[in-house]
Amino acid sequence: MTTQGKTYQFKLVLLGESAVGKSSLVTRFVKDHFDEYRESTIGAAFLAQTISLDDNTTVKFEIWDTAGQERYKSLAPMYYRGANCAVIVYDITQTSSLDKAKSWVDELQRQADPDIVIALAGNKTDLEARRAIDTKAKYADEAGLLFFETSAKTAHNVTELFTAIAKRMPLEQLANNPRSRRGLNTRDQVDLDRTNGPASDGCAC
Amino acid sequence: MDTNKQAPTSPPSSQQQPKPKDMATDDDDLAEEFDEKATLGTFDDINEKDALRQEHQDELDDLLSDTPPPSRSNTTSPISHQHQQQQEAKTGETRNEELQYIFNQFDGKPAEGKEEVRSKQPVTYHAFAEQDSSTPTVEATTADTASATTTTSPTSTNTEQDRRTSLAALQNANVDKPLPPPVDIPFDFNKFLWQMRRRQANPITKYFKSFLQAFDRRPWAVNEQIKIIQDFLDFIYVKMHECEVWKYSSEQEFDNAKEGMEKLVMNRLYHATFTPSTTDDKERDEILQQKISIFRWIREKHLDIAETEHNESFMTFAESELLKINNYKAPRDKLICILNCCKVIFGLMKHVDDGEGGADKFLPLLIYVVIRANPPRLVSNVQYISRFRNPDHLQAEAGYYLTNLMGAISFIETMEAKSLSITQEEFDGNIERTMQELKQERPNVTQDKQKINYENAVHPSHSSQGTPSLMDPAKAANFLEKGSTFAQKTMQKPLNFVGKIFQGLGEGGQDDDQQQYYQHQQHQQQYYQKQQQQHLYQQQQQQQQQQQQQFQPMNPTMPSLPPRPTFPQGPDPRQIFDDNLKTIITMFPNVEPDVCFMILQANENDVDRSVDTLLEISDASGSSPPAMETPQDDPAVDTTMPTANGDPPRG
Repeated sequence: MTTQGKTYQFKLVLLGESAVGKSSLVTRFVKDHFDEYRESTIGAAFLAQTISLDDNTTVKFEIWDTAGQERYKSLAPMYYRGANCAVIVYDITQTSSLDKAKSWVDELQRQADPDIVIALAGNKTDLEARRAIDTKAKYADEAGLLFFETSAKTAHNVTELFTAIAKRMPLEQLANNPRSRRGLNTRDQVDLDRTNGPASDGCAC
Repeated sequence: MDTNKQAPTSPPSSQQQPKPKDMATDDDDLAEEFDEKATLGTFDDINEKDALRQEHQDELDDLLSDTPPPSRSNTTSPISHQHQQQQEAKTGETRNEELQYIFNQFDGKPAEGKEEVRSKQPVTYHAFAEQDSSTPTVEATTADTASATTTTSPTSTNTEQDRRTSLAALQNANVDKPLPPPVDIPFDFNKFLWQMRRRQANPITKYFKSFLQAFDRRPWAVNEQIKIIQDFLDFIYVKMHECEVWKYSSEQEFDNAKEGMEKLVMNRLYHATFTPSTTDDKERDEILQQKISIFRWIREKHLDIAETEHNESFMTFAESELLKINNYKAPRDKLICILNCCKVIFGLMKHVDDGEGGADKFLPLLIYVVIRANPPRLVSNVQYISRFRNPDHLQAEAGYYLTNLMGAISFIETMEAKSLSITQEEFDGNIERTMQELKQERPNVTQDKQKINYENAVHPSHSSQGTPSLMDPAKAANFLEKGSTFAQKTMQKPLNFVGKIFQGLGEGGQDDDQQQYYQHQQHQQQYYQKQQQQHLYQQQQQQQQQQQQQFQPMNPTMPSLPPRPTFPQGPDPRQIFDDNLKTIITMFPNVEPDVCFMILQANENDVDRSVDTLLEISDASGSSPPAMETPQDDPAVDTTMPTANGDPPRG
C-alpha cells in the first residue's frame, strides 16, 4: 500500500493545556489506523503514523506530544522547533483551555517555522451537554488555521483532522527536496539554550 | 527507508534478546577495539595495563596497516610484511590528500567543489598547539584504555548481567507492546571490527588512521569538529560502499557497518569531542549537578506525580539505566541508555494507569528520575549526543526522547518555587535544610582525607562545590590504591609536555627561575581569570547561595541556587589547600592529579615550592606519562591548559 509512490515525512507537534485530551486524540488516530505498522517502541508520547492521501502519496506524521502543564510552557520551543505542522487542542468544556490554545497559536505564528501548518482542535464533543465554548471556526479562519471539533472518545473527526493537515502540507514543494540530513541540533551553533532560534530543519527549508 | 534504518538503533523491544549481548560486549570492546580482548581482559592491575599500552599501540598500527600481529595471524591471510608496508606508504599519501579537503576548509584554503562550511569561524583557539603531533593515536588509544579501566571496569563485569536483568524487567514492563517488525539484523560492533580487519578493508583502515592523525593535529572549535567528523563519515561511507567487504551487504547490514564506523570514530575522538574545552558544557554540568543536590528533597507530589507502590522500583530502575550513560563513549550507545531509561518510565506509566498517558505524565517522571539519579556530566552527554550522533538517527523517536531529556535539564536549571507544587515557605525551608545538610556532610566526608582528596584531584571542580561523593567508599579506595601506585610510577617518568614549554622559555636567555615564576604567575592568572568567568557566569546564583550559606534567609524570594562554596566567607585551611591543588592541577594538566596532591602535601601547601618540584620532575624529560584518567578529565581537553605563548585559553 505504501510501497508505491512517495512518502512524505512530517514532524507534528501537539500543544494544549494538560487534560484536554491531546494524547488521547493521537492515540485514537493511531489506533484507528492499526493496519499500518507502527514503529513507536518506547511509549505513547511519541507516535508515528502514516496515512495515504491517494495511491501515490503517503504522508507520515511523527507526532511529538508536549507536556501541557503551565510549568513546562517555556520548554515548548524545544519541541516545536523544526515542526512542519502543529495541532493545538482545547477542551470545549473548559473556557480556560481555549485561552491557552490561542496563546499557543500566537506563539507559533510568532516563533515557529513560518511555513508551519497549524490546526486547532476543540476536543470532547462527546461532552456536548457540558459545552462551554461555541465553535471557533470563525476565529480559526481569521487566524489561518485548520479547525475541527473532535472527540477522541468517539473518534469523531479525528481522522478528518489529520487528513486535512496532510492535504494542507506543501507536498509539491517538497518533492525535490528530500528530508535534509539534519539532526536535532542542526549543523549550526549547537546549544541547548537556543530554543527560540528559527526553526530551520525538516523538509520545509 | 527511515523506518528500517531507525529500527536497529533504538532499543526496541524487538531486539531484547540480541541487545544485551551487543551492549555487554561493547563494554570490553569499547576500550580496546582492535586489541585482542584475551590479552587485556585478564589484567586488572592498571600498571600492567599501562605497560601494555605501547605494545597495543604497535598492535593497532600493525592492524591498521593490515599486517596481522602474530597473535592474530589467523584472521587475515599472511602477506609479506615489508611489501605490504611499502604499498601502504604509497597509498597512504594519496589518501591523505584525498582527506585533506575535509580539513582544508578550516584553513582558509578553498575546498574544491565542496559546500561551504556553514558556520565558518576563524580558529583562534590554540591551546592544543603544543600537543605532540607524532603521537595522536597513542593518545587516542590511551584515552580509550584509560576510560575503560577507570570508568567502566568497576562495572564491566556486571554489565552483561545488569543488562539482562534490565531487559528482562523491561519486557515485563512492556508486555502489551505492539508486535515488533519482523527481521532485524542486530548491530554487532565486534562483527564490524572483524570486517575492518579483513585485508579488503585495508583502504578503509588507512583512511581511518589518516583521519585520526589529521584530526588530532590541531584543535578545532566544536562546530568544526561536527563538520569535519560528519564530512569524514559521509566520505568513508561512500568508500566503504565501494569496498569489497561491504559491497554486497544488504541495506541493513551496511547501515550497521555505518553505525560501527561512527562508533569507532567517536570512541577514538572522544577525548577531544566530549566536553570540548571551547564550550561551557563542563560548567553547566557542575551547576546542574549542584543544583540537583540542593533539590534532592523533591518528591513525587512536588511534580504532581501520582504516588503508587510501583514508583520506587521503577524509578530506581530508570535511574540506573540513565546512569549507565557514562559507561559508554559512542553517541549511539549513550542515546540507547536514555531511551532505555524512558522505556522504563513508560513501563511505570503502564503499570499505574492504562498507559494512555502521554507527555503530560511522562515529562514530570523523567524530570523526577533525573533529579533522583543526578548523573554526572549530564549536560555534556546530551550535548555530545546531539552534536555527534548521526543526524538521521536523531530525527524521530530518538530525537524526541533526547529533546525530552534536554527539556528536563532546562527545567531543572531554571527551577524555582513556582515551578513546583509547593509553597514558597516550604520551598525555602527545604532549601535551607538541604544546604545545612550538605555543609555537614562535607566535613564528614573529608575525614577520610585520602579519599576526598583523591576525589578532589580527579574532579576538582566537583568536590569544591560540596557535591557528595559519587563513589562508594570501597570503589574510591580501590581507585586510590591504583592511583597512587600509578602516581609513583609517573613521578619517575618525565613530563614531556610541561618540560617542553619551560625548556623553550629557558632558551630565551633570561633567568630561569624568574621566568618560571613569571610563567607560574601567568598560569595562575589564567586560572583565576577562568574562575572569574565562571564566577560571572554564576554570579546570580552565588549571591543567592551565599545568603543561604549564612543560614539567614534574608531574601526568601530567591531560593533556587546552585551553591559555590568555592568562594568562602573566611579562610579555611582545607579550602585553601583544595584551591592550591586546583591551581597546580590546572598548571600541570599532564601530571596526574594525585601526584599534584602528594607534592603539594609534601611541600606543606606551598604552591610555589610545589610548582618548583613539579618543574624539576618535568625537566628530566622523556616520554609523556600515559593518561590514566577518564577521558572526561583528559588533560588534553582541559580548558585552562597553559600555552607556550601565554595566550589565555578560551573558556
